[in-house]
Order: sequence, then C-alpha cells, then structure tokens
Amino acid sequence: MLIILIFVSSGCVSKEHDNKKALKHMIQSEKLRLLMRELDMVVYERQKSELDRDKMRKRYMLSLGDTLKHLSAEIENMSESDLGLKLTQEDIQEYKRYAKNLSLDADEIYDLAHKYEFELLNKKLEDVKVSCNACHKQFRKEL
Amino acid sequence: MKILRFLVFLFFVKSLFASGNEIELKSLDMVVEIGGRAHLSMLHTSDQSSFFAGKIALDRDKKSDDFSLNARESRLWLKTKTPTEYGMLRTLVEIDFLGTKGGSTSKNDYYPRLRHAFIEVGGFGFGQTNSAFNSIVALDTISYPMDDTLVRQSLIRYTYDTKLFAYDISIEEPKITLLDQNSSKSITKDNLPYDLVLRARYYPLWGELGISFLARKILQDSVVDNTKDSKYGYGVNLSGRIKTFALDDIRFNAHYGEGSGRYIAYGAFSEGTISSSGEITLTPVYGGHLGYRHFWSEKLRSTIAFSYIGADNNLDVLQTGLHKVTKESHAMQINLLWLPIKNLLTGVEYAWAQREVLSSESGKANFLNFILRYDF
Repeated sequence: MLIILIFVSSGCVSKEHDNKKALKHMIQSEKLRLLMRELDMVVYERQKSELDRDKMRKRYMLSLGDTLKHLSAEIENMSESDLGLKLTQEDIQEYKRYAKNLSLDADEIYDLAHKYEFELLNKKLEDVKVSCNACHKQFRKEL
Repeated sequence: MKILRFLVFLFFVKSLFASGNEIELKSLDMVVEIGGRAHLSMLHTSDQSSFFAGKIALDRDKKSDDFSLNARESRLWLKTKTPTEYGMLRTLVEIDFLGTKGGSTSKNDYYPRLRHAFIEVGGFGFGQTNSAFNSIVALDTISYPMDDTLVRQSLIRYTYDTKLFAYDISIEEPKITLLDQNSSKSITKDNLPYDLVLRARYYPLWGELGISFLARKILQDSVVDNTKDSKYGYGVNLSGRIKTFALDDIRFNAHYGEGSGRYIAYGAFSEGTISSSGEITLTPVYGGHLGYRHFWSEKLRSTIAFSYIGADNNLDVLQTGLHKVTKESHAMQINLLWLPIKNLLTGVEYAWAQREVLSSESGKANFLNFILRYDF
C-alpha cells in the first residue's frame, strides 16, 4: 500500500513539475511576444523625441535579451527526466544546443541594443523564431 | 524608415616609425537615419474652440461649428549615431509644420517649425528638446489632456542611466509671464537664472514611473516702474504607466506647483501675479489625468481618459479682465485607433471639455477628430 502511495504521489509530483516547467516556458514565450508588440508600439508613444524613443527601444531590447537568457537557462537546467524517457543522449545534446544558441542570440540582442542597431533586430528575432520552431517541432511532443 | 549608412574612411599616413613606414586606417562609422510622418487631421469643433485648457471658448463668445482639414502635424527628422570613446554620440533634428496656423487658401504654405535639435553623448545632452519636467508617459489619445505637461526648450542635461533607473539633472531656459491687475500678461526677460529640473525614472516590469522637481526663480525688474521683486517657484510632476492585462495599461499624471505656470497646459496659466507696487505672488497650479488603454485586438485599441487642471489666482491683485483668466478646465476623451497595416494609423476621437474663468463664466465644447497617419 505504502509503495503504491509513493508511486502515485511521485507520479503526481513529476507531472506537476513538468507542468510547471511547461507553464514557465509558456509564460516566458508570451513575455517575448508582448515585448515585441511593445517595441512595435514605441512609434506611437507621444511626446517623446526620436532619441527618447530609441532609448525606450533599447530598454525593450535589453528586456528581450533578459527573457531569452531566462528561457535558455530553463532549457539548460532541464534534467533528462524532464525531457522524457524516449530521448537519446544525442537528442539531449541537441536540445541543450538549442539552449546554447538561444543564449548566444540573447548576447547578440544585447549588443544590438547597446549599439542602437534596431533595424537588425527583426532579422535576429527571425533567427530566434526559426530556432524556437525547430526545437518545438523536434521536442515539444516529447515533453 | 529609410536608413542611409555612411562609412567614412579617413586615411592617415603616419610618420615614420622605427620599424619602417606604416599606414593606419581609422574609420568613422556614422549612421544617418531619415524619417518622419505624413499626417492628415480632420477636426470638427462645436464652436471654433481649440482643445487646450486656456482656449475653450466661453458661452458668451460662441461661434458656429468649425471643420478643418490639414496636414500640419506631418514631421520630418534626421538623426545620426556615431560610436565614440565616450559611448554613442547621437543627434536629432526634427521639424513639423504647426508653427503657422493658417496657410493661404490656395497653397496652404505652412512653414517648418523646429521641434528638436539635440546632441547626446556620454550622458550629457544639449540643444533644444523636451524639458525634463515633462511627463514621461503620455496618453494614447489624438488630442492632449487639459493638464498636459509639455515644454520644449533649450537645455543642458546630464543623465545617469541604469537598467532599472534613470536620473537627470537639467538646466533649462527661463521664461516668465506674470499677470498684472488688468489680467494682461507681462513677460519678464531680464537677468533670469536658469530653471533647474531634477528627475528620477523607474522602469520595473509592471510599467514606468517618473517624478520631476522644478526649481526656479521668478523675478521682475522694472516691470512696474522702478520696482524689483523675486520669489522662488517650484513644481512636482508625477507620471507613469501601469501594465494591466496583455498590452492594456493605465496611464496617469499628477502635478502641483507654485510658479510652474508655463510648464503645464501650454501656457494657460501664468507663473504669478504682479501688483501695482511690483510685488509678485506665485500662482498655485494643480491637475492631473487618468486614462485606460485597451487593446481590442493587435490592430485595434481604445483609450478613455479624464483630465483636470486648475489654479488659485490672486484675486487681490487681479481687478479687471477676469474673463481672460482661466480658473479651471476639465475634459474627457475617448477614441478608437486602428492599425490596418504596419505604421499606418487611423482613428477617431471624441472629446468634450469645459472651462471656467475667474469671472465665473464658462464654456463647453465638443470635438471630433479623425486622423490618418503614416510613420516612415
């Protein structure tokens, strides 16, 4: 009986644990989406000079970088059990590589922000989107 | 936005080194950006009023409805950025066409007006731009709230910027208007010390918050015969934005000042009054606004806002012409803005405003404003 209880409760904890991770991942993704929308809306912030707007854009870009760093750290810190039993060592390495790439993307976004290179952001975000989609396609069903 | 990238390579042939001839290549990487907006405004007013705290027509001055159509709010700007050893050097020059109210009937030849001419490097900035006393967040409306805190002027500013906070100290152009006993404006120009503004801004995840303090000396020298007087004026301006659901937010502003007149409501109020003996009395001005912005969808949004501004003018000094002096104004705005394609904004706003003057007369006006604007 005790063994059954431990088994059931551990199953629940594991499921809840996975759900929390998935939820956190979703929250960060939603945060990214909102930040990108807010960046698009900066042009409509009234009574700011173009220099002020650029500073606003810079702040949003730095927040975007922070969010990508968080996402990357979450993925990096996922254990093998978080990733599911069907994954091979190779798959796990591949998954971690996506996390590493995300972190590098964040570094590039920080760099663009400090240089006020906003025109290059969309291209960078496209790269991030491609990377996210590839990762989701390969691993989301497994999680 | 069109971007022109100029790479200017400067070649220097250096003098002979011990090891032999060397050529050093220095590059100056200046990026020049040109942009602006084409803006068409269609405004219907109930009595030829303007939607500003001091310009709502009184009932006794009622005129017929007015419909106007113009593109004066179109803008053009040029900005540059150049990396230097002190950080990015950024400059901006911007013009609009709001300086001329009525163009000729055939050509509408509105003249350019300077909005910004500003240089910023290593935290230091100088030139003409928005005062540091201005609100850091504005309502997402087509017309301005009654209490709008917006001044553009020449200034020298230092900003210390961190990720979460920014602090500014700004020395700004001084200008003073005082009301005499006939409620006429006198502008004092001589020997004015600069206005000082201190500002702190906070950028948490939940929004933005800014507080500014204004300190200035209000003085008159021989405005009335050979008299002299001075007073210290001040103002506090708190503004911010609190994010609520998704992209929705609450935007607010509150201010109080004595002698802060021209910084608020586009000069609807003076800094103070000047008596027949030359004595200055500062006028307390107070107001605020509150607005909620809601996104119906990614491309459709609305704002509803209420604003108020009032002042306690010195009635011991002001004897005549009281109908010229605004006591208080309040307004309500509601709009619907639509972004059919990126950077093309169109929308309609209904606004209602009321003004009361010191003679206890008042006036109300309705406004319907339609815009079509493209930012490039």
